[in-house]
Amino acid sequence: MNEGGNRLLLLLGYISEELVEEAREEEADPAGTNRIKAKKKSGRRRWKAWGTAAAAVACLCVVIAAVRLMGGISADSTGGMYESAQEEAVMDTAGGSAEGIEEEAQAIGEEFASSGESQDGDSAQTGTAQDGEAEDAASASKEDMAEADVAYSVWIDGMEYAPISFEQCKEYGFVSQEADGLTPENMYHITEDDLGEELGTVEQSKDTSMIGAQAYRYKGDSSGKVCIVEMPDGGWEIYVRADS
Amino acid sequence: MRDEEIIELYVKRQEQAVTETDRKYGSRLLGLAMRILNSREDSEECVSDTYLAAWNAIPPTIPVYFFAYLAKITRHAAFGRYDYHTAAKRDCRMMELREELQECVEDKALEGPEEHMQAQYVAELLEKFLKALPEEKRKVFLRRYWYFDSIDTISTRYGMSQSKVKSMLFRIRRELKEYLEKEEVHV
Repeated sequence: MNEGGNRLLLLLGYISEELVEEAREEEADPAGTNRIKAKKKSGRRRWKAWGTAAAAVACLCVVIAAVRLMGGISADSTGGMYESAQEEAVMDTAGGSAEGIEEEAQAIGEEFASSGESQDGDSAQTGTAQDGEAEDAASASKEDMAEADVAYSVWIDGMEYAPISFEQCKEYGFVSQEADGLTPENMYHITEDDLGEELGTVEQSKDTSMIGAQAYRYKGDSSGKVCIVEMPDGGWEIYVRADS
Repeated sequence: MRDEEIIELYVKRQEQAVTETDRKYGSRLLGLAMRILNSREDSEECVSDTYLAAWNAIPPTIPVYFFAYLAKITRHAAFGRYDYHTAAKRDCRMMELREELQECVEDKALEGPEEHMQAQYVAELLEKFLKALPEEKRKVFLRRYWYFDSIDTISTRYGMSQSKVKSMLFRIRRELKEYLEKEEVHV
Protein backbone atom coordinates (compact mmCIF):
# COMPACT_ATOMS: atom_id res chain seq x y z
CA MET A 1 0.00 0.00 0.00
CA ASN A 2 1.31 3.44 -0.95
CA GLU A 3 4.46 1.79 -2.29
CA GLY A 4 4.93 4.47 -4.94
CA GLY A 5 4.60 7.25 -2.40
CA ASN A 6 7.07 5.52 -0.14
CA ARG A 7 9.58 5.11 -2.98
CA LEU A 8 9.28 8.76 -3.88
CA LEU A 9 10.04 9.66 -0.26
CA LEU A 10 13.08 7.40 -0.40
CA LEU A 11 14.24 8.68 -3.78
CA LEU A 12 13.97 12.25 -2.61
CA GLY A 13 16.81 11.32 -0.29
CA TYR A 14 19.10 11.19 -3.34
CA ILE A 15 18.65 14.78 -4.47
CA SER A 16 21.71 16.99 -4.36
CA GLU A 17 23.01 18.44 -1.12
CA GLU A 18 22.74 21.87 -2.67
CA LEU A 19 18.94 21.68 -2.67
CA VAL A 20 18.85 20.20 0.83
CA GLU A 21 21.12 22.97 2.06
CA GLU A 22 18.98 25.63 0.44
CA ALA A 23 15.91 24.50 2.38
CA ARG A 24 18.03 24.21 5.53
CA GLU A 25 19.28 27.79 5.36
CA GLU A 26 16.03 29.02 6.81
CA GLU A 27 16.66 26.91 9.86
CA ALA A 28 20.16 28.17 10.51
CA ASP A 29 19.72 31.67 9.26
CA PRO A 30 16.67 33.42 10.60
CA ALA A 31 17.59 36.32 8.37
CA GLY A 32 16.64 34.10 5.46
CA THR A 33 13.19 33.65 6.88
CA ASN A 34 12.96 37.31 7.55
CA ARG A 35 13.92 38.02 3.97
CA ILE A 36 10.94 36.06 2.73
CA LYS A 37 8.69 37.66 5.31
CA ALA A 38 10.06 41.10 4.53
CA LYS A 39 9.34 40.48 0.86
CA LYS A 40 5.80 39.51 1.73
CA LYS A 41 5.45 42.49 4.05
CA SER A 42 6.68 44.87 1.40
CA GLY A 43 4.11 43.34 -0.96
CA ARG A 44 1.42 43.86 1.65
CA ARG A 45 2.64 47.40 2.22
CA ARG A 46 2.36 48.07 -1.50
CA TRP A 47 -1.20 46.79 -1.46
CA LYS A 48 -1.91 48.87 1.62
CA ALA A 49 -0.53 51.95 -0.13
CA TRP A 50 -2.73 51.25 -3.15
CA GLY A 51 -5.69 50.72 -0.84
CA THR A 52 -5.04 54.04 0.91
CA ALA A 53 -4.70 55.81 -2.42
CA ALA A 54 -7.94 54.24 -3.65
CA ALA A 55 -9.71 55.26 -0.44
CA ALA A 56 -8.39 58.82 -0.81
CA VAL A 57 -9.66 58.99 -4.40
CA ALA A 58 -13.04 57.62 -3.29
CA CYS A 59 -13.24 60.26 -0.52
CA LEU A 60 -12.37 62.99 -3.00
CA CYS A 61 -15.14 61.77 -5.30
CA VAL A 62 -17.62 61.91 -2.43
CA VAL A 63 -16.44 65.43 -1.55
CA ILE A 64 -16.81 66.52 -5.18
CA ALA A 65 -20.30 65.03 -5.41
CA ALA A 66 -21.32 66.67 -2.11
CA VAL A 67 -19.85 70.00 -3.14
CA ARG A 68 -21.64 69.80 -6.48
CA LEU A 69 -24.90 69.03 -4.73
CA MET A 70 -24.50 71.85 -2.23
CA GLY A 71 -23.33 74.20 -4.93
CA GLY A 72 -26.48 73.43 -6.89
CA ILE A 73 -28.70 74.23 -3.93
CA SER A 74 -27.00 77.47 -3.03
CA ALA A 75 -26.15 78.58 -6.53
CA ASP A 76 -29.12 80.89 -6.85
CA SER A 77 -27.99 83.28 -4.15
CA THR A 78 -24.29 82.95 -3.67
CA GLY A 79 -21.21 82.84 -5.72
CA GLY A 80 -21.63 79.17 -6.67
CA MET A 81 -19.37 76.26 -6.58
CA TYR A 82 -15.96 77.76 -6.31
CA GLU A 83 -16.86 80.15 -3.50
CA SER A 84 -18.91 77.53 -1.72
CA ALA A 85 -16.06 75.07 -1.81
CA GLN A 86 -13.68 77.75 -0.67
CA GLU A 87 -15.98 78.74 2.18
CA GLU A 88 -16.20 75.14 3.28
CA ALA A 89 -12.50 74.88 3.10
CA VAL A 90 -12.05 77.98 5.19
CA MET A 91 -14.59 76.72 7.72
CA ASP A 92 -12.78 73.44 7.99
CA THR A 93 -9.35 74.88 8.17
CA ALA A 94 -9.05 75.97 11.71
CA GLY A 95 -6.48 73.20 12.13
CA GLY A 96 -3.00 72.75 10.69
CA SER A 97 -4.09 71.19 7.39
CA ALA A 98 -5.80 74.37 6.22
CA GLU A 99 -3.61 74.83 3.21
CA GLY A 100 -4.17 71.33 1.98
CA ILE A 101 -7.95 71.63 2.15
CA GLU A 102 -7.88 75.06 0.51
CA GLU A 103 -5.81 73.58 -2.25
CA GLU A 104 -8.31 70.79 -2.57
CA ALA A 105 -11.17 73.26 -2.79
CA GLN A 106 -9.26 75.27 -5.34
CA ALA A 107 -8.59 72.13 -7.32
CA ILE A 108 -12.31 71.37 -7.31
CA GLY A 109 -13.00 74.91 -8.51
CA GLU A 110 -10.41 74.59 -11.22
CA GLU A 111 -11.90 71.33 -12.31
CA PHE A 112 -15.20 73.04 -12.81
CA ALA A 113 -13.58 75.98 -14.58
CA SER A 114 -11.83 73.67 -16.98
CA SER A 115 -15.06 71.84 -17.73
CA GLY A 116 -16.45 75.15 -19.01
CA GLU A 117 -18.98 75.48 -16.29
CA SER A 118 -20.21 78.84 -15.07
CA GLN A 119 -18.74 79.67 -11.71
CA ASP A 120 -20.58 82.89 -11.23
CA GLY A 121 -23.67 81.17 -10.05
CA ASP A 122 -25.79 83.95 -11.43
CA SER A 123 -28.85 82.02 -12.29
CA ALA A 124 -31.07 79.19 -11.31
CA GLN A 125 -30.09 77.58 -14.59
CA THR A 126 -26.68 76.85 -13.21
CA GLY A 127 -28.32 75.32 -10.22
CA THR A 128 -30.44 73.12 -12.44
CA ALA A 129 -27.43 72.14 -14.47
CA GLN A 130 -25.60 71.29 -11.31
CA ASP A 131 -28.53 69.27 -10.01
CA GLY A 132 -28.35 67.32 -13.22
CA GLU A 133 -24.66 66.85 -12.72
CA ALA A 134 -25.22 65.64 -9.19
CA GLU A 135 -27.70 63.09 -10.51
CA ASP A 136 -25.18 62.07 -13.16
CA ALA A 137 -22.54 61.76 -10.49
CA ALA A 138 -24.87 59.70 -8.33
CA SER A 139 -25.81 57.44 -11.21
CA ALA A 140 -22.17 57.17 -12.23
CA SER A 141 -21.34 56.25 -8.68
CA LYS A 142 -24.07 53.57 -8.73
CA GLU A 143 -22.61 52.24 -11.96
CA ASP A 144 -19.20 52.14 -10.34
CA MET A 145 -20.64 50.22 -7.43
CA ALA A 146 -22.34 47.77 -9.76
CA GLU A 147 -19.04 47.38 -11.54
CA ALA A 148 -17.27 46.75 -8.23
CA ASP A 149 -19.77 43.98 -7.47
CA VAL A 150 -18.85 42.05 -10.61
CA ALA A 151 -15.18 42.99 -10.59
CA TYR A 152 -14.05 39.59 -9.37
CA SER A 153 -16.58 37.42 -11.13
CA VAL A 154 -15.04 34.74 -13.27
CA TRP A 155 -16.20 33.02 -16.43
CA ILE A 156 -15.63 29.31 -16.65
CA ASP A 157 -16.80 27.28 -19.59
CA GLY A 158 -18.86 30.25 -20.75
CA MET A 159 -20.70 30.57 -17.41
CA GLU A 160 -20.37 33.43 -15.00
CA TYR A 161 -19.50 32.63 -11.39
CA ALA A 162 -19.53 35.25 -8.65
CA PRO A 163 -17.77 35.12 -5.28
CA ILE A 164 -20.09 33.50 -2.78
CA SER A 165 -22.12 35.88 -0.62
CA PHE A 166 -22.72 35.39 3.10
CA GLU A 167 -26.34 34.43 2.48
CA GLN A 168 -25.22 31.87 -0.09
CA CYS A 169 -22.68 30.54 2.42
CA LYS A 170 -25.68 29.80 4.67
CA GLU A 171 -27.69 28.41 1.76
CA TYR A 172 -24.98 25.95 0.73
CA GLY A 173 -24.10 24.99 4.29
CA PHE A 174 -20.68 26.60 4.53
CA VAL A 175 -21.79 28.36 7.71
CA SER A 176 -24.58 27.53 10.10
CA GLN A 177 -28.04 29.02 9.61
CA GLU A 178 -27.67 30.82 12.94
CA ALA A 179 -24.45 32.53 11.87
CA ASP A 180 -24.66 36.27 12.18
CA GLY A 181 -22.09 38.07 10.11
CA LEU A 182 -18.80 36.92 8.63
CA THR A 183 -16.76 36.54 11.81
CA PRO A 184 -13.59 34.40 11.76
CA GLU A 185 -15.44 31.49 13.37
CA ASN A 186 -18.09 31.76 10.67
CA MET A 187 -15.58 31.48 7.86
CA TYR A 188 -15.37 28.18 6.06
CA HIS A 189 -11.86 26.92 5.42
CA ILE A 190 -11.59 25.03 2.19
CA THR A 191 -9.32 22.01 2.05
CA GLU A 192 -8.40 19.78 -0.86
CA ASP A 193 -10.96 17.31 0.45
CA ASP A 194 -13.62 19.72 -0.75
CA LEU A 195 -12.36 19.60 -4.32
CA GLY A 196 -14.51 17.60 -6.70
CA GLU A 197 -13.86 16.97 -10.36
CA GLU A 198 -12.11 19.60 -12.44
CA LEU A 199 -14.50 22.13 -13.88
CA GLY A 200 -12.05 23.94 -16.13
CA THR A 201 -10.02 27.09 -16.03
CA VAL A 202 -11.01 30.72 -15.65
CA GLU A 203 -11.44 32.07 -19.17
CA GLN A 204 -12.33 35.62 -18.37
CA SER A 205 -12.31 37.94 -15.40
CA LYS A 206 -11.85 41.60 -14.69
CA ASP A 207 -9.05 40.50 -12.40
CA THR A 208 -6.69 39.36 -15.13
CA SER A 209 -4.49 37.49 -12.67
CA MET A 210 -7.36 35.02 -12.27
CA ILE A 211 -7.35 34.03 -15.93
CA GLY A 212 -6.10 30.47 -16.28
CA ALA A 213 -6.78 29.61 -12.62
CA GLN A 214 -7.99 26.05 -12.11
CA ALA A 215 -11.59 25.56 -10.99
CA TYR A 216 -13.10 22.49 -9.36
CA ARG A 217 -16.60 21.48 -8.51
CA TYR A 218 -17.41 21.57 -4.80
CA LYS A 219 -17.87 18.01 -3.56
CA GLY A 220 -20.61 18.93 -1.14
CA ASP A 221 -22.88 20.43 -3.78
CA SER A 222 -25.01 18.25 -5.99
CA SER A 223 -26.52 21.13 -7.98
CA GLY A 224 -23.21 21.86 -9.74
CA LYS A 225 -23.60 25.56 -9.06
CA VAL A 226 -20.78 25.90 -6.58
CA CYS A 227 -17.17 25.77 -7.62
CA ILE A 228 -13.81 26.29 -5.97
CA VAL A 229 -11.17 28.32 -7.73
CA GLU A 230 -7.45 28.20 -7.00
CA MET A 231 -6.38 31.75 -6.31
CA PRO A 232 -3.19 33.01 -7.98
CA ASP A 233 -1.63 33.79 -4.59
CA GLY A 234 -2.52 30.39 -3.14
CA GLY A 235 -5.59 29.21 -1.27
CA TRP A 236 -9.05 28.62 -2.66
CA GLU A 237 -12.18 30.70 -3.00
CA ILE A 238 -15.75 29.64 -3.39
CA TYR A 239 -17.76 30.88 -6.38
CA VAL A 240 -21.41 30.39 -7.22
CA ARG A 241 -22.93 30.41 -10.68
CA ALA A 242 -24.35 33.86 -11.25
CA ASP A 243 -27.70 32.59 -12.52
CA SER A 244 -28.40 30.67 -9.30
CA MET B 1 32.95 26.35 15.13
CA ARG B 2 32.64 26.81 11.39
CA ASP B 3 31.93 23.82 9.13
CA GLU B 4 35.34 24.13 7.46
CA GLU B 5 37.06 23.89 10.83
CA ILE B 6 35.10 20.79 11.81
CA ILE B 7 35.91 19.15 8.46
CA GLU B 8 39.55 20.04 9.05
CA LEU B 9 39.37 18.05 12.31
CA TYR B 10 38.01 15.05 10.40
CA VAL B 11 40.84 15.37 7.89
CA LYS B 12 43.36 15.48 10.73
CA ARG B 13 41.64 12.42 12.25
CA GLN B 14 40.99 14.19 15.56
CA GLU B 15 38.07 12.71 17.51
CA GLN B 16 37.04 16.17 18.59
CA ALA B 17 35.50 16.35 15.08
CA VAL B 18 32.62 14.15 16.20
CA THR B 19 32.11 16.14 19.42
CA GLU B 20 31.99 19.40 17.48
CA THR B 21 29.66 17.92 14.86
CA ASP B 22 27.34 16.74 17.60
CA ARG B 23 27.48 20.11 19.34
CA LYS B 24 26.61 21.99 16.17
CA TYR B 25 24.21 19.68 14.38
CA GLY B 26 23.34 16.89 16.82
CA SER B 27 19.93 18.21 17.81
CA ARG B 28 18.87 18.90 14.22
CA LEU B 29 19.95 15.49 13.01
CA LEU B 30 18.18 13.89 15.95
CA GLY B 31 15.07 15.93 15.13
CA LEU B 32 15.16 14.75 11.52
CA ALA B 33 15.50 11.11 12.55
CA MET B 34 12.77 11.53 15.17
CA ARG B 35 10.36 12.86 12.57
CA ILE B 36 10.86 9.66 10.58
CA LEU B 37 11.14 7.07 13.33
CA ASN B 38 9.29 8.69 16.21
CA SER B 39 11.55 6.80 18.59
CA ARG B 40 14.29 8.53 20.53
CA GLU B 41 16.35 5.41 20.98
CA ASP B 42 16.34 4.49 17.29
CA SER B 43 16.94 8.10 16.31
CA GLU B 44 19.97 8.42 18.57
CA GLU B 45 21.40 5.30 16.98
CA CYS B 46 20.82 6.81 13.54
CA VAL B 47 22.70 9.93 14.52
CA SER B 48 25.58 7.84 15.90
CA ASP B 49 25.63 5.90 12.61
CA THR B 50 25.80 9.23 10.81
CA TYR B 51 28.88 10.31 12.75
CA LEU B 52 30.55 6.98 12.10
CA ALA B 53 29.78 7.19 8.39
CA ALA B 54 31.12 10.74 8.25
CA TRP B 55 34.26 9.68 10.15
CA ASN B 56 34.86 6.89 7.65
CA ALA B 57 34.14 9.00 4.58
CA ILE B 58 36.03 12.20 5.42
CA PRO B 59 38.65 12.14 4.00
CA PRO B 60 38.75 11.50 1.08
CA THR B 61 35.29 13.02 0.75
CA ILE B 62 35.18 16.73 1.55
CA PRO B 63 31.55 17.79 1.72
CA VAL B 64 30.67 21.19 0.30
CA TYR B 65 27.46 21.45 2.30
CA PHE B 66 28.35 19.79 5.57
CA PHE B 67 24.93 19.81 7.23
CA ALA B 68 23.16 18.59 4.08
CA TYR B 69 25.77 15.85 3.77
CA LEU B 70 25.15 14.68 7.34
CA ALA B 71 21.39 15.05 7.05
CA LYS B 72 21.34 12.83 3.96
CA ILE B 73 23.19 10.11 5.85
CA THR B 74 20.79 10.43 8.80
CA ARG B 75 17.76 10.33 6.51
CA HIS B 76 18.99 7.17 4.77
CA ALA B 77 19.87 5.57 8.10
CA ALA B 78 16.44 6.39 9.49
CA PHE B 79 14.69 4.94 6.45
CA GLY B 80 16.88 1.85 6.83
CA ARG B 81 15.62 1.41 10.36
CA TYR B 82 12.05 2.25 9.58
CA ASP B 83 9.80 -0.59 10.49
CA TYR B 84 6.61 0.04 8.62
CA HIS B 85 4.40 -1.97 10.90
CA THR B 86 5.54 -0.68 14.27
CA ALA B 87 6.16 2.85 13.02
CA ALA B 88 2.68 3.03 11.58
CA LYS B 89 1.31 2.19 14.99
CA ARG B 90 3.49 4.80 16.68
CA ASP B 91 2.99 7.65 14.29
CA CYS B 92 0.73 8.33 11.36
CA ARG B 93 2.85 11.17 9.94
CA MET B 94 4.91 8.95 7.67
CA MET B 95 1.75 7.24 6.49
CA GLU B 96 0.29 10.65 5.75
CA LEU B 97 3.36 11.71 3.76
CA ARG B 98 3.42 8.47 1.82
CA GLU B 99 -0.23 8.85 0.98
CA GLU B 100 0.33 12.40 -0.20
CA LEU B 101 3.15 11.43 -2.51
CA GLN B 102 1.25 8.38 -3.68
CA GLU B 103 -0.93 10.81 -5.65
CA CYS B 104 2.06 11.55 -7.88
CA VAL B 105 2.79 8.02 -9.02
CA GLU B 106 1.36 4.73 -10.11
CA ASP B 107 2.66 1.61 -8.43
CA LYS B 108 4.55 -0.57 -10.82
CA ALA B 109 6.88 -3.04 -9.22
CA LEU B 110 10.29 -3.35 -10.80
CA GLU B 111 12.91 -5.79 -9.77
CA GLY B 112 16.63 -6.32 -10.14
CA PRO B 113 19.00 -4.00 -12.03
CA GLU B 114 16.12 -2.44 -13.87
CA GLU B 115 14.76 -1.19 -10.55
CA HIS B 116 18.13 0.27 -9.60
CA MET B 117 18.45 2.13 -12.91
CA GLN B 118 14.91 3.32 -12.67
CA ALA B 119 15.56 4.63 -9.14
CA GLN B 120 18.59 6.58 -10.31
CA TYR B 121 16.66 7.95 -13.24
CA VAL B 122 13.72 9.01 -11.06
CA ALA B 123 16.06 10.65 -8.55
CA GLU B 124 17.58 12.68 -11.40
CA LEU B 125 14.13 13.63 -12.62
CA LEU B 126 13.13 14.73 -9.13
CA GLU B 127 16.22 16.88 -8.95
CA LYS B 128 15.39 18.49 -12.31
CA PHE B 129 11.79 19.03 -11.32
CA LEU B 130 12.72 20.64 -8.03
CA LYS B 131 15.31 22.91 -9.62
CA ALA B 132 12.70 24.15 -12.06
CA LEU B 133 10.32 25.14 -9.25
CA PRO B 134 10.30 28.68 -7.88
CA GLU B 135 12.49 28.94 -4.77
CA GLU B 136 9.66 29.34 -2.29
CA LYS B 137 7.70 26.38 -3.63
CA ARG B 138 10.83 24.24 -3.69
CA LYS B 139 11.62 25.05 -0.07
CA VAL B 140 8.08 24.31 1.07
CA PHE B 141 8.12 20.99 -0.79
CA LEU B 142 11.49 19.99 0.65
CA ARG B 143 10.55 21.04 4.17
CA ARG B 144 7.55 18.74 3.90
CA TYR B 145 8.94 15.71 2.10
CA TRP B 146 12.65 15.90 2.82
CA TYR B 147 12.72 17.28 6.34
CA PHE B 148 9.26 15.89 7.23
CA ASP B 149 8.05 19.15 8.76
CA SER B 150 4.39 19.45 9.71
CA ILE B 151 2.12 21.84 7.83
CA ASP B 152 1.94 23.95 10.97
CA THR B 153 5.73 24.25 11.19
CA ILE B 154 6.02 25.18 7.51
CA SER B 155 3.29 27.80 7.74
CA THR B 156 5.01 29.39 10.73
CA ARG B 157 8.43 29.23 9.09
CA TYR B 158 7.35 30.94 5.90
CA GLY B 159 4.64 33.20 7.35
CA MET B 160 1.87 31.60 5.29
CA SER B 161 -1.54 30.34 6.28
CA GLN B 162 -1.89 26.59 6.64
CA SER B 163 -4.40 26.48 3.80
CA LYS B 164 -1.92 28.24 1.54
CA VAL B 165 0.77 25.71 2.40
CA LYS B 166 -1.67 22.85 1.74
CA SER B 167 -2.80 24.27 -1.58
CA MET B 168 0.79 24.96 -2.60
CA LEU B 169 1.79 21.36 -1.81
CA PHE B 170 -1.28 20.10 -3.62
CA ARG B 171 -0.33 22.05 -6.73
CA ILE B 172 3.28 20.88 -6.60
CA ARG B 173 2.19 17.26 -6.25
CA ARG B 174 -0.08 17.69 -9.23
CA GLU B 175 2.75 19.26 -11.25
CA LEU B 176 5.06 16.43 -10.19
CA LYS B 177 2.48 13.86 -11.25
CA GLU B 178 2.14 15.50 -14.67
CA TYR B 179 5.92 15.74 -14.98
CA LEU B 180 6.46 12.07 -14.12
CA GLU B 181 3.66 11.01 -16.44
CA LYS B 182 5.19 13.06 -19.24
CA GLU B 183 8.51 11.30 -18.62
CA GLU B 184 6.62 8.00 -18.56
CA VAL B 185 7.88 7.15 -15.11
CA HIS B 186 6.16 4.62 -12.91
CA VAL B 187 7.70 4.30 -9.50
